[in-house]
Amino acid sequence: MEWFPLWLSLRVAATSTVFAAIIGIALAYLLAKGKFPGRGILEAIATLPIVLPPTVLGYYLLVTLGVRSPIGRAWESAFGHTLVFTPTAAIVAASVSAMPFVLRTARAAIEAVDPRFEQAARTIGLSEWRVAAQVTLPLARRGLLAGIALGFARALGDFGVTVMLAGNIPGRTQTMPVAVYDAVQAGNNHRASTMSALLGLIALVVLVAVNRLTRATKLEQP
Amino acid sequence: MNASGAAAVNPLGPDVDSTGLRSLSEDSSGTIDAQFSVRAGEFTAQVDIGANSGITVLFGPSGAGKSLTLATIAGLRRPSTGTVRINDCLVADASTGFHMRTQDRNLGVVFQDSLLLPHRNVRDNVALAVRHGTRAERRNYADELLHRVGASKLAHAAPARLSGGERQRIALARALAGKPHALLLDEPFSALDYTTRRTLRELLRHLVDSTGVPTLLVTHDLDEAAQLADRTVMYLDGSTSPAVQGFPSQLTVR
Repeated sequence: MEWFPLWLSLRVAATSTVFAAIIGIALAYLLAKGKFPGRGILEAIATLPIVLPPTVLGYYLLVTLGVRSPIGRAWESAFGHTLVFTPTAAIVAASVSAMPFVLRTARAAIEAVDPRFEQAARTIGLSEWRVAAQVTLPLARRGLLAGIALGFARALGDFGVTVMLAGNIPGRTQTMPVAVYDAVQAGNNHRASTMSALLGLIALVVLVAVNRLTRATKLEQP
Repeated sequence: MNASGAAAVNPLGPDVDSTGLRSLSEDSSGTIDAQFSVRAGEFTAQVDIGANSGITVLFGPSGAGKSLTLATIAGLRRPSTGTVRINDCLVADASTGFHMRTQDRNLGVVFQDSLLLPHRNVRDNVALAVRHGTRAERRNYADELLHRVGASKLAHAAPARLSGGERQRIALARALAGKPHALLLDEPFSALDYTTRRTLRELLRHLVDSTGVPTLLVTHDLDEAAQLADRTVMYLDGSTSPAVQGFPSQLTVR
């Protein structure tokens, strides 16, 4: 078996999970605590990647980041090569599809924190930043971790967005899910089943971890 | 809960030290002057309280607006009419919409359940509330406060490991950590058993007397009011009666 797709997939999933976690948790906090006009629309847009067909999402990203777009041209003049059809594009694709999973789980966890702890923290003089960093987020940490784990699983499994934005270049942008598709197309069932089993196993482990984290959260409530 | 821990702590705490406590409060002759109305749903409380050093008990039945009063003075709620002044400094004025943030009012608040941060140990909980100094200075001051509430031994314990009485000791230490202009206590001892309650009342009396910090104590417990009140404000039908010196049993409500 060829190991590059696994290696690439793990690398892409790890990197994109970091981006998805930072953006997802920040947005989750904003949506859970903030009161501002356009909040509903922001939430809908941020959640859109869950319900859009991955190919449609990939197409939007391709239009936004492609060689003819302002962002694509800026990227090319800065780095000397296009953004699309590179491993970096695979990271962008996985980040965008993973982010809403972090966002939704993190938001629920943040909203579940007893607001009286936050009030108590204000009475002892903690600024809103410190209330978030030292009270709300630590108290929501299990839910945040569960969201990050879900995001990682989603990033690892992305097919449609990755194919549209990063393509299917063996040894360069071909991640595991794409390699499975390739193997089936080529009639290589052994390869397809080995990689599928591996992906399935990783996803299973992640979900068991997520379930443990979320169950323990419920038990912790006084 | 932790019977051995509770037994090891004598009434005021083995090492409660009354010398130098006055430094815990920056201004020992502070005042609270609150004249406002505040709404919660259909209910409106009419509040008129003037308090200075010593313990002012807010006494009355449940649902009379006592906790609402503290929440408004603390800045967790906005009054719908009227003003709140702390040490003659305006902190809320409904007519102009002025509302000083809770963080900036510098009040020590103790709730019925201590609301200590469960993910930090006892000393960190107190040190977080110290407003000035380096990390080490804040920790030292936290240790000093723990000493004064008789909880030195608990510095490294997790709040979840403590008994209810121990938690309220720590909550008192935390409330004093910012050298507050006033203490606001919302039924702080009502979830505790009889003996612990008595012990903590004595500790509170001691802390208030030695710091001089003006204190509002919400309670619906007649014993507690009788034992601790320097002044009493009665709540009837959502309105306060004028503050009266003396014990509730001697009061006549106008």
